[in-house]
Amino acid sequence: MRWRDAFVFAARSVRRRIGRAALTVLAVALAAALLSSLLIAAGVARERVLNDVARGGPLTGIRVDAAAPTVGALDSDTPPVGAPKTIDSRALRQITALAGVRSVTPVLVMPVLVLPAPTAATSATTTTTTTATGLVPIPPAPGTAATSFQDSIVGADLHHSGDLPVSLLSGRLPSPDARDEVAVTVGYLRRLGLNDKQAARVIGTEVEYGSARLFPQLGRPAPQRGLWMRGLVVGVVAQEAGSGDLLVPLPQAQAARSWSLAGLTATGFGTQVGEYSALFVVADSLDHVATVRQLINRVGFSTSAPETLIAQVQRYVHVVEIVLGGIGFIALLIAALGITNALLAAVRERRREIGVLKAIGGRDRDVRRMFLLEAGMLGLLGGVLGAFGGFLIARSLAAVVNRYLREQNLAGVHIGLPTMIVFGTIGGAAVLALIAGTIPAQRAARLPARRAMGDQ
Amino acid sequence: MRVRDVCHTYATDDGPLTVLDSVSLDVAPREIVAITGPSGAGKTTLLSLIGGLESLQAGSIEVADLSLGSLSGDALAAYRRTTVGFVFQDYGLLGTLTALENVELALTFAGLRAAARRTRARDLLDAVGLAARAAHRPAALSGGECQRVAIARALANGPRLVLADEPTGNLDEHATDRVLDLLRSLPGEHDCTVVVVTHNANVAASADRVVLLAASHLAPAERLS
Amino acid sequence: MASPSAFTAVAIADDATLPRDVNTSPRDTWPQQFFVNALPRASRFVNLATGPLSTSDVLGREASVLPVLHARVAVVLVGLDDVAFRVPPAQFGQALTDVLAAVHKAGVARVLVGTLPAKAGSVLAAGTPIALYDDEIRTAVRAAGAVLVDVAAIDVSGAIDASEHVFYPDSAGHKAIADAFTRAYQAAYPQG
Repeated sequence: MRWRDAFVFAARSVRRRIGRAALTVLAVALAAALLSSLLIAAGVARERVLNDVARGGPLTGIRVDAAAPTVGALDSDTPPVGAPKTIDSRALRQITALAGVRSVTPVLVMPVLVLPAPTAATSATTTTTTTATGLVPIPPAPGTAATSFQDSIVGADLHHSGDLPVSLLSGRLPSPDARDEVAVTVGYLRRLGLNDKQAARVIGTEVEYGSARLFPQLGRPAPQRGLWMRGLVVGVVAQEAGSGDLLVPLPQAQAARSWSLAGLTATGFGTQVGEYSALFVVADSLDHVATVRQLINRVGFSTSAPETLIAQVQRYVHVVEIVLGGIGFIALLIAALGITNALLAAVRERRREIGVLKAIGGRDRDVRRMFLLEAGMLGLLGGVLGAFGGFLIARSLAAVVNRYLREQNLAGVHIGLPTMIVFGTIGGAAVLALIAGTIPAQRAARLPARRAMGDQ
Repeated sequence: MRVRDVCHTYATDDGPLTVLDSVSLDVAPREIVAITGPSGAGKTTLLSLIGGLESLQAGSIEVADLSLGSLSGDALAAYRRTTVGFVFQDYGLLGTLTALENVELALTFAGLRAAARRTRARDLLDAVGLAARAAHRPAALSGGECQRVAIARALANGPRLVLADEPTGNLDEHATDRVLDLLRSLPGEHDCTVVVVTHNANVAASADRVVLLAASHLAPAERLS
Repeated sequence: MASPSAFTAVAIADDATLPRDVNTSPRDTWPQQFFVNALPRASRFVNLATGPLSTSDVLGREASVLPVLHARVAVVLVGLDDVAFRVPPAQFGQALTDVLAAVHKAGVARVLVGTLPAKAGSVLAAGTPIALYDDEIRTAVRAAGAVLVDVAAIDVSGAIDASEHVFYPDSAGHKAIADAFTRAYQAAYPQG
């Protein structure tokens, strides 16, 4: 008997027992849907955590610090040797030109005095005009809110914010060229007596920050005067780009640096003398991080990178994938047992029919082939329905996750059609069904031809 | 066809049960032989042994120069496919297939291509007077029509021997007559030998020869005609 | 390229304008409030106020650093220390004229000058009304083409420091001065 004829015969058998076939297909489809949706979810997690973040994201970022004992280099595991070396435009160009470097984003941290927006309570007694001019006061928070505090602004080239260890918690990042926008950290909220969940309260308020400059022209000893800047708080972030509670566009920090440097008569007072405090280098792949770090060290700068963290995340994600895949596989295995059971029942019911097939010339292998094809068909159909069902389930889950991420002002996940998983699930279900059909098919093939005469 | 000293025993809960004991039978080409006997006498077992459905325990059976004792597996399947044709009491048609497809099924096992199968099956249905019912499933056919489809299927691969087990057992008188006419015509029109197991005196009467199987032994019966 | 609103403003004043002590927030001073209320958010601001110093000293100190600041707006409130030091009004007037000339020379386009809070006059001996100083201010402002902010006409609360004989506005006083400067700036430069 030809394969094609056996296929047609098997298809007719499936159609004849449509109810049972539908239930069997449904079981396979559900299991396949579970498997594929879990694999898709695990894949998206990996994509998000490793590909989005690690392959070019902040976690592959290499922090480059000045080759001198600096607070920024405290965590460096490649301490610099030789003469102090600050990070300037030349260093930026040199490092940008290194092999394996995808992008270099400069960061400049400057100390400032911060005047957060007055709380409603303080504004009533001190600066009520601020409300009259449209400045939104921060609602009063329990505890003592600071009216001014010393901190630092972290100026970064926000054109490449994706390459920085900055995560948006609420609102948005400042526009890269804006002179009047800032993002604040959770530390800023704490200073105001607010907690993480009250991030939205500071958005839309204004913060003033001033950097210091010595003015020998104004007296002896030289008094300090501030260059004051203002920014509308547009977002709340978690950031590791530099030590400071205000994230501002790089030009603002550069203005503060120029201001401070102009008043220096000696080398000092701990003012940031280098053009940049740090650089964030993103390697073009995780595999190149170590090489790029070596190259940067050779140029003469310290580096630090969360490679071990990435490796750990990779391991965790892999474990999650294995567990999720295992759950899906067990489900598919149960469905396969369902196929075996359904086909065994079919063999029991069709003993007479199998006998007739043999009586009119069917060989054992013809009968085996028919039953195997029937099992494969059920598996294939269930696999197709399940794979696409799983895709739809994953899409639905992604919609729920995206709603949450949107609430958290985080970028959503996108579920594309994962060709490998879809075809893998379909193929896997069909193969498993074929394996599941082996025992019933074998049993059918071994039924004696005398069954054609009925049970005796 | 030559059956020599065939013995057959079934294992039962009450011990071995011998249904055939040294049974011998010769059937000439194009002869129609009816085997009668009481229920449980071993008629169907003998038919199964001749048709290669049952393994031979003792004795020998030769059909068309083939010794069944030496055949097994695929060779036995090939024997059933090419040398014999079966007609069952309950027709043995597949309910999912039409009359045409049921006939085609036997040709499918012979490896014929679809077009050739279709032509041959139509001719056979035409020969049994069911060309107009080719597209009907067994459920839509009468008992007599089903049995005629079964006969057409039995003839599909041009068998030398047609084995019929109570072919009219489920049929009314009119249908019985038509099926008998058909069976009687087989040796002449299809050059084959016919062995019929039956309780029906009319069926037995229409055979060239009647043998009686009783108490595990075969004996010539009186010509009922 | 910086937007037109991205400019620098300076305050030229004496120490009465600075926070009294470390417990006082810069936000409590009138120049800082003027910066927040009157100027665009993208602007920058420097409070050059220092002291104690007479207006003639301002020329050598605060006015001298103006050229490097490239300021577009200057708010000026000087004379409180002159009053305390009993600098003759005419001499004060000349010093202010010189300061405003230096401010103009430094390229500052928008100059606002305030008259003195009326209460500052209580340290003066009888026969030297504070109005004489205000007259000098008005004359100098007119001559320089600057905008006059009539602080003398508003109620600026505050107190005379007993040891320094200098009038220091309190929080409400700073706010009143800031409001006066803001109103004057918005009237003179409605486009911001």
